[in-house]
Amino acid sequence: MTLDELFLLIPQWILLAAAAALMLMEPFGRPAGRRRLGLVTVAAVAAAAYALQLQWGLEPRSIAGGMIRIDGFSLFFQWLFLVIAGLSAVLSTDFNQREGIDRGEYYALLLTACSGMSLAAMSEDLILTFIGIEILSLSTYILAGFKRRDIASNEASLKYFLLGSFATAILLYGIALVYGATGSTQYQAIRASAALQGEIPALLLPGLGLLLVGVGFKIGLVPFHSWVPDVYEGAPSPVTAFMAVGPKAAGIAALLRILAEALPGLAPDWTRILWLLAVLTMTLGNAAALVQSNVKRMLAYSAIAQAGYILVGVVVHTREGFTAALFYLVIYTVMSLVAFGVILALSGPGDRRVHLDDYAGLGRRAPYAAAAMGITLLALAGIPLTGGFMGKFFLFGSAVKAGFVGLAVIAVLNSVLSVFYYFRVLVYMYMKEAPGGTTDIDPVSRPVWAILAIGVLLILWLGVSPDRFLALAGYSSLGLK
Amino acid sequence: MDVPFILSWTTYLPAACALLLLALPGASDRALRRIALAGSLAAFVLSLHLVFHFDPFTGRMQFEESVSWIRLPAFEIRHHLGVDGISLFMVLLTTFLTPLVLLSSWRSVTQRVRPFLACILLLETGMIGVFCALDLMLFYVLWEVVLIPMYFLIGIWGGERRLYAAVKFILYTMTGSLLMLVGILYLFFAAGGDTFSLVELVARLESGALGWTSREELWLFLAFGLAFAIKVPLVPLHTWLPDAHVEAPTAGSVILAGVLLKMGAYGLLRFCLPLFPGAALALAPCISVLAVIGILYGALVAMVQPDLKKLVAYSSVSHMGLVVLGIFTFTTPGLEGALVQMVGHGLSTGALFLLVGMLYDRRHTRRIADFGGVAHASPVLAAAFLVVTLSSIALPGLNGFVGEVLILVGSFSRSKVFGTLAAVGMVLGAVYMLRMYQRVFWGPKNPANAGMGDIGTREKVLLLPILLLMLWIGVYPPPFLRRMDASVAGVLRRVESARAPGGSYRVDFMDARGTPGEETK
Repeated sequence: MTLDELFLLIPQWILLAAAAALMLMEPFGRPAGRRRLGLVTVAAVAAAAYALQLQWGLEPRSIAGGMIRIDGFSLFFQWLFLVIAGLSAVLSTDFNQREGIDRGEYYALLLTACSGMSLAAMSEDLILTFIGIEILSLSTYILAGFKRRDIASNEASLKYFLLGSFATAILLYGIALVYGATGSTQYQAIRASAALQGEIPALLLPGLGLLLVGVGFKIGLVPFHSWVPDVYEGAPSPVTAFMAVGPKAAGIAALLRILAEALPGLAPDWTRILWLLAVLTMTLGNAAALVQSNVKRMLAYSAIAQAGYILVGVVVHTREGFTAALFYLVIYTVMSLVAFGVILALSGPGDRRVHLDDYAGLGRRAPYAAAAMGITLLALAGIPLTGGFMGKFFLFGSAVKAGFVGLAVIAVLNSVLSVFYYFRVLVYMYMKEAPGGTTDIDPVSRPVWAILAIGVLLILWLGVSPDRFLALAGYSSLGLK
Repeated sequence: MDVPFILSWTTYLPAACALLLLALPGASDRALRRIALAGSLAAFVLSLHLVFHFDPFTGRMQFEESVSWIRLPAFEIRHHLGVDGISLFMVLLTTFLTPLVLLSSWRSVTQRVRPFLACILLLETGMIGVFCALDLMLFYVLWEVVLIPMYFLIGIWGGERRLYAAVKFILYTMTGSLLMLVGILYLFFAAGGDTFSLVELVARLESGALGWTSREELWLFLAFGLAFAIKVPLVPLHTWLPDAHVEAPTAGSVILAGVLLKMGAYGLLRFCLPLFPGAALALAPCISVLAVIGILYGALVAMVQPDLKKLVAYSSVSHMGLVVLGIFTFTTPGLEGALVQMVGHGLSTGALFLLVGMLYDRRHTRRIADFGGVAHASPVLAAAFLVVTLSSIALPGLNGFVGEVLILVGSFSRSKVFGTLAAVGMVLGAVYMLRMYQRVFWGPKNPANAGMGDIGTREKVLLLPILLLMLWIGVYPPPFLRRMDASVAGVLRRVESARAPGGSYRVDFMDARGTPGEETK
């Protein structure tokens, strides 16, 4: 690696250095100023963002012997992951103090997870993709179980770890098969070799299938989703917020790179498979969300369904489709973080108040939090003038344009289905009276308020004026192909 | 006088007023109500400007304004507004009813006044916008925006089963509208993927630059038509309506019946007919059958309702069936009758809901059996109710008559069977409305009604403009019809252009004002 190439990876160095520093701060730091942990994390993220910003406008290039690609796509996802990590850290600080889990390792793991996600998105080599996903996975396994004294948290961690290891193994096996069929793990080489051989080698299709299973598990696609509701429900709420957006986006990024850069030759095959997966994911995610009475669990299933919408853009695999998928990822990230932000702000000591009944009459008890939640739910349901609508509009538009009218119709009907459960929370918040004996809402800290307010404004802004973000997503998806 | 952006002002003034309400902490409910009323009255005044400066001799869009909204490399969505003879009176109906609705809720809504007023005003913005929007995406956005405040109106300030009604309302309408979104997208890409402008799309269809295969056209018609048919509502998609109307607070019912249902019929006229005339022609018999079923079914079900609001709700199903029947005659009297009937139904059904609300405020019941002899206790209320009832059953000299007769003329010229059945529906309408009136206001005196008192000044002020307008339309409709002529002719020209030469074309024997029908081609 030349010095130049190291420079391009500075954002990652900063994250990892900060992670190491945080681990050291834990034993040596004064216990009183624990908020510093969160501050250091945010500062590291900000520094990394600044370093990243310097790369804006560079010619796309491959570095590290063709393992890492620096292009708009990489920049886009690194940005997204930094935002996710930074916001998650802010959301975590007060929550962790309340729950007594404000430890240096927590923030260190957030940063390593962020770094892993970035690697997965930048990687141009199956091995590095695997390593990125593994760094991410190991971090999140631990984060999910960070409330050591909480049974649900323990269960979440163990379940995630066991199932995740299987998925990892399958992913690795898929990589091996693809390597066997093409003789390389590098995307460009795979692309060239598979395209060179006029006839598709027999090993390649099973390899593709196993890759899809492994990455599909990380994204939480049906039928590889069974861990999602339990883990999301059991993990500490800020970790849930992080997992609902981070690993999902990383999985989508890796999937896009693999499919569009390495295996475009198999497009007819993976389009068909992903079409089915998208339909299953949307439909089962929404159908299961319908019957949930725990808000966290409901949002877990909603997150599954939302991934199905994003997958529509991958199935379409046109410029518009990829652009729309990236754009939707941004919106989805904001919506999810705000929704989980409200949940963790209201969940009370022990992270317990997450039942629908706890939201009864919220419109009066906590009007601002309810308004933030309400707008976010409208956005998740895809009501116009919110970013959620614009995202769906461009996704479904790309599908219709590419001739996937049937898929668009299914996605649209799924949106109707989702309206039912998103609006049920509205019903509880605004149309039911609080039952007697409900405790007061804890005061929400300023940083969390700031995040909620910015998030809501962003949701509305993206709904009214999406031009710039869409242009950004379009520029980033140029890196594909 | 040319006022720039007059339509934007009219449309967004109520929304701005709603934001003002939300931004005023600590203001008394009284002050909030006044601000809301002032805002809606201002919108009404602005909309009057539209009538006075409307040129009745052109079928083109007027007061057009178009600015770029979302600009992308491949296309842009424009904020494009305009009115013509079809939308003009819908806009007016909205701006006319909203202040009255606000006035009607002056006393009856005492809980959460601020969000209530904000919802009504946002609703007004959405509705005016729907009637003015000429860009398909803008139309869709506003169409959906209307749903949300209505959902809250039903769900928060509604009656016993309000949650059920609110959810049913939103699910029904969302299903239709989201399928319409797919239709819009398909249409957009089929048309070259560069414009959502309705005017431009129709121009391309007219010039032949854009054409449909019959299968495409049919599906597109259905995608749009379903959303509109649910809103109208056309039997068998009407089941959300009785629930929503009954459970909504008076203000919500008035807006639902007065304006929201018209959005469906308006959509058919504005989008389905000009964009997919061939499919409209092909499906006209089926839709007419559904419309006639709606007329008769609505009337028959209304007959046996024990609840006043439910009765009025089912009468809406019946009357709106008539509107759809009128539209799908594709005759000048049919279409103009439908438009007049839309305005007329907005006024008379709106007034009926207001009056039922007044009865409810006094007696806290809506069961017909609980009333009786109310005319003794509240003579003015009884008199007003009588006028509105008569207008609803199309007594000559009141607004209902004009619309219904025109529609009957149109439908008889197309099919004697449909015409006859529609006329039967009108007779049934007279039966259930008069019987209801008799049981509520005359009949044996119920002692519980003795002390209910007559309507006060506020309520008189509220009813008077509606009654006057009913009388005006009934006695002298030409000012209204004249402004519709050119635009209606334009729509009919579009439809007739799709008729295959030598096909099932029949000459219109009758035309309301003795002018020859559109016998082009």
